[in-house]
Amino acid sequence: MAIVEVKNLKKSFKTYHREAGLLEAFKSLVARKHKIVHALKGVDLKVEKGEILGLIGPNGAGKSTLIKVLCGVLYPDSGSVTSLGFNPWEDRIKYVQNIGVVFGPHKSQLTWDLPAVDTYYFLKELYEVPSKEFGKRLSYFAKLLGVKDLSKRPIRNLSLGERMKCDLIAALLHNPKLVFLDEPTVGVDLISKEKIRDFIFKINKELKTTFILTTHDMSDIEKLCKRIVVINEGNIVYDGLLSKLKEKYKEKHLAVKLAEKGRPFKLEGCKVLRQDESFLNIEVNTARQSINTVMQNLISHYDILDVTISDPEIEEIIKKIYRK
Amino acid sequence: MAKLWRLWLGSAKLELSDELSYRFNFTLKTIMNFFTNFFTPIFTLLVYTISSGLPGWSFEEFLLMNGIFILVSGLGGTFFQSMTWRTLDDIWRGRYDQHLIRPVNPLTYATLKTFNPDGLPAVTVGLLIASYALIKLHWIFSVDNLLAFIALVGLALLFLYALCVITIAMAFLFTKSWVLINAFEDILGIGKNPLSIYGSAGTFLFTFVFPVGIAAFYPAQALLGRLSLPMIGELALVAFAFFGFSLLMWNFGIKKYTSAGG
Amino acid sequence: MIRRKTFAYVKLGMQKLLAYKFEVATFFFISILSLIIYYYLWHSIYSFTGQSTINGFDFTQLMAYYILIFFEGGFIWTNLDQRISDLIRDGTLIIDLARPTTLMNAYVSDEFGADLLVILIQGTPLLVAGVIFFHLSPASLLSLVLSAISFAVAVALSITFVFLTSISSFWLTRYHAVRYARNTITWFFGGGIVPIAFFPSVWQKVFALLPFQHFIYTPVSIFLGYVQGWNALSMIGMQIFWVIIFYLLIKLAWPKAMAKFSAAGG
Repeated sequence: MAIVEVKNLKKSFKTYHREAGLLEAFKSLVARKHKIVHALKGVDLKVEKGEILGLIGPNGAGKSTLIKVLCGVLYPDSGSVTSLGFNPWEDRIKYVQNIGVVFGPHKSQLTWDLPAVDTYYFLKELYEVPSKEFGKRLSYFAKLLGVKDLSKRPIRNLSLGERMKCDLIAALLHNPKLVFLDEPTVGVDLISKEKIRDFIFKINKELKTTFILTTHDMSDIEKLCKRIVVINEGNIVYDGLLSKLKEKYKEKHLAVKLAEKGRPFKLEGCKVLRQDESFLNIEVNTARQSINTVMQNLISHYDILDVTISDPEIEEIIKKIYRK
Repeated sequence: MAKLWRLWLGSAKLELSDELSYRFNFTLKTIMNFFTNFFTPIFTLLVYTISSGLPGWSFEEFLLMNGIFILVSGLGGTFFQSMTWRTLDDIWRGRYDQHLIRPVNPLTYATLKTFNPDGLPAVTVGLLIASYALIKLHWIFSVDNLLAFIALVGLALLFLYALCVITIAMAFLFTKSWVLINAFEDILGIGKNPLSIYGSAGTFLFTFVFPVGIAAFYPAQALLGRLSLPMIGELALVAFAFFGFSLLMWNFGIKKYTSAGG
Repeated sequence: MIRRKTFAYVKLGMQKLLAYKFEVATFFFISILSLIIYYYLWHSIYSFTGQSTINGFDFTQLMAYYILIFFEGGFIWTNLDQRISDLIRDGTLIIDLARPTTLMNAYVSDEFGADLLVILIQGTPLLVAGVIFFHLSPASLLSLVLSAISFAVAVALSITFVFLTSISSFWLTRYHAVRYARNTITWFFGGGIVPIAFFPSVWQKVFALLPFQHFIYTPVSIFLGYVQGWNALSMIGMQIFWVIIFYLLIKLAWPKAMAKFSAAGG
């Protein structure tokens, strides 16, 4: 069941720009040059209840514009959005009662000089969370994320990972049905990343909270999202299951360690990524060439120390999609 | 309504603990704020020492106006004025969206979050100076005058609040506006003096068009029993109209913000 | 070398002017506003008091004084310290600056050079108005020269003082109150509200001991001829004295500030 439906969403911005230099500065006094940026060019999207959706795209692709419209913070030029039964920007005040947002690592919503708990109590009042629920949720989330000391340490003394965890809790205290996470693991240490991912996974499973996650971190995607949406230059260029995406791009990577430099590698359906005295990295299009043939070729012509065969990085796949 | 009260209380507590978490900072600020408020009365004292002062205003009467001005500024500063620079700060740091994802009107949200104890020294100084002036004037207590005064102070605060709202609205409409906050304080300076110095045109301007006279001049008049009831009514109308204008500007500004994405 | 640096300042100043045209216009507006308020206030006072001079100033002289004060005092409103304070607060300040002069050079020199230019540009209409309406003029050629020197030293004084106060950001959370106090105190004790000559003589003696009058009042009083010849030179000497004091204070406070900064984890 879709809890968010986006139809033909269009949004353009007027940006003023000016070339560098003093002459240009003077010119801009009189008339500013403007450019129209089409951030969203007719986006269609459905989000199912209880899923963790990954939203990927290069910077400037329209990701944040889309998220802002879905949060009700920005209104579009045309198109329709129904989220949790509301029109986000028209029924904003009623709508936002049901959503949670984490804006990213440097835009914490917690008061800088105070412990997180103080802000939590404020949010409790703001969202009218009953005291019992509040207490239960708070201790449960804190336990899952491993953040004790919530009552003692000011935010400014916390590491980025701890801050992000506290922000996550803040976004979930009022039991929202839909949560937007903007780059929740960027700059965070590995252990905290793990904990955050596990947390999101668990909350999604237990509370059936729907998550929309924007990220550049592919391990986030791998570990959390079944379905991803790739947006580029204002359009959705891929919307589907992660597994299908991987299947579609049937390249395998072969990383070969050589004892000595061999002759230049050439075989149909293979792209040489790197070749020198010690390494030979090949990308094999398994639709056109079999691994068996490649292996036989390698064994007969090269002095091999080690071979690793792996699936392509998601990044490579995504880059290919971007380029389309 | 009860929710708003609880919210305000909650955020005021947050504010206060935030401030008190740095005791040295807090003490220093309070002392500095306390003393800098005396500069205005000192100016008045000087003027009346080296000259005859202003027509129609004795030293004590002018001092009363000073005290009221400081009091009103202090009240405004404590209860809502810091929402101006905080909101502006949030806008420039790209954090304003946080205001928009709250289940309350963003103006209400901004207003609720701004209890600022920094204004309290001014309130104290203002009360001190005004009381001193009243004693020297051998002011006769009158319920009517006191009520009129309280009403005018309410209008003064409404006017101040509207100025804050206008400043924030301007921040939505124009991008960089740090100086707006300084300008805001300076515009208020017009109301530090009796309106008579601006001539009849000026008096009209600052009573009915840009009612900064409400900040101190008219409350002083009210306390001294020089304000008629019809006049109070007119001033109330002007203050509310000005407030309404500020809300219009705000709506206009926030529409632009939510269209342009900030 | 100097020519190139000057040109760099000029260019930077112009860019600043254009980039911050809104702020420049607003500051200009504030100055005009304050001047208008003073005009009406003092006009009323002078008419009522019946005498044409008060403590040696007649009305036009007083207005000329105020115009000069606003012209010279523009750089007190610099945002430089707010910017430094923000950097400190965000923790994005480069912490391995062992000497404050490196920071000073990096942030202060260029910004201040540009600030100065901006003030000179927007102050010119003020000066023109002063000349036309209030007979603004230097007391003599010597006064003009000496006041220019005094103004230059005052700028250095302002730089050091502003920088010194911004160091307080290492210890305080929000810088606002300090900045407000700095502005108000400098303005008040610097002859910004009334000429220092308007104060009772006891107060004047106290003011003479403080550095603040040397920010604005000293160059202005030299220009208008209230202080002449050797007195003027000794005033400039006092200005230099205070620059040195502030500089030493910066050197003293800086290591403590750095210690605090690293102790707090940046």
